[in-house]
Amino acid sequence: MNVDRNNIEEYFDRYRDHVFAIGYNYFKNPIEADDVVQETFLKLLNTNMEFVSEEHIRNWIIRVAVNECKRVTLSSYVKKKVSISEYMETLTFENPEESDLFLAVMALPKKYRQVIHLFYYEGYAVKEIAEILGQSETAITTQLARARAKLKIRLQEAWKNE
Amino acid sequence: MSNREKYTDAFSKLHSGYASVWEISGITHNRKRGLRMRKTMAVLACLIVLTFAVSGIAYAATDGQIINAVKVWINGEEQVVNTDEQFVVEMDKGDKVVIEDGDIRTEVQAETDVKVKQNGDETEVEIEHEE
Repeated sequence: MNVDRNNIEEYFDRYRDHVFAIGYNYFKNPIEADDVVQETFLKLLNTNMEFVSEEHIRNWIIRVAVNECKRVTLSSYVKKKVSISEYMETLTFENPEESDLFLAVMALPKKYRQVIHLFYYEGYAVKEIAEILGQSETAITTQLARARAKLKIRLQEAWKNE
Repeated sequence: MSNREKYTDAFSKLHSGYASVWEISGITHNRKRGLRMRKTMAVLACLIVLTFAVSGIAYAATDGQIINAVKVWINGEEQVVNTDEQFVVEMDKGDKVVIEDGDIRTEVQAETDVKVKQNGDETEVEIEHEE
């Protein structure tokens, strides 16, 4: 399977917001999150990689997005910052629980946010997260446990024990 | 509702500002050119500005028919240009520019000595050098 100009839109529509969420989770800034979207899909458009399945494409996109977060950080561009509260005004949460959860995750340290997001939103297992982030499974397990503990403290009954 | 479902519901509210993948390729091309131009200026290289009187050339070569469709390629990538009577192509040393205006094809290679070919014949073009 190749990704080219004929089918790139399909993958863009399917994974654009996933990549954006990874970028926002990392930067807490929608402008830099869209930089990650831009760089990730440009790489997808220009890659010669032969993909063997839909899952392969998805995993490739997620890994590139995570790596692009680190690369965008090194950029010398001065980015306009949008505060979380400003950005939240543009979001349509259905109830206070959703917005509380969003804020609680954004309050976590960056490395915990990444692990939590890849686990709960992208559905990756600890082993897969360890590979994506280039860390040991032990480190990921620890970070996941600590992130959950912090969310429990902040969200109380709204966050179930696991 | 599980923690996973709650998390997914909350974060599914986040959406990219890009509506189309083609917005991205257009924006990135301009950004790359901007980067290259800043680097060029930083090392005090020459910026060559090429000005054409497009409609005048088209009129002379096409026996009076006005050509409105103009295409410009810079290093193989097609640019969007308006169809006013004149337009300016900015390029760095090493850039190759191809301009098609109806039946007229003009190629410019921006090296130390700028050479211009138009329909196989050399032609004079007004060039301004900026440093």
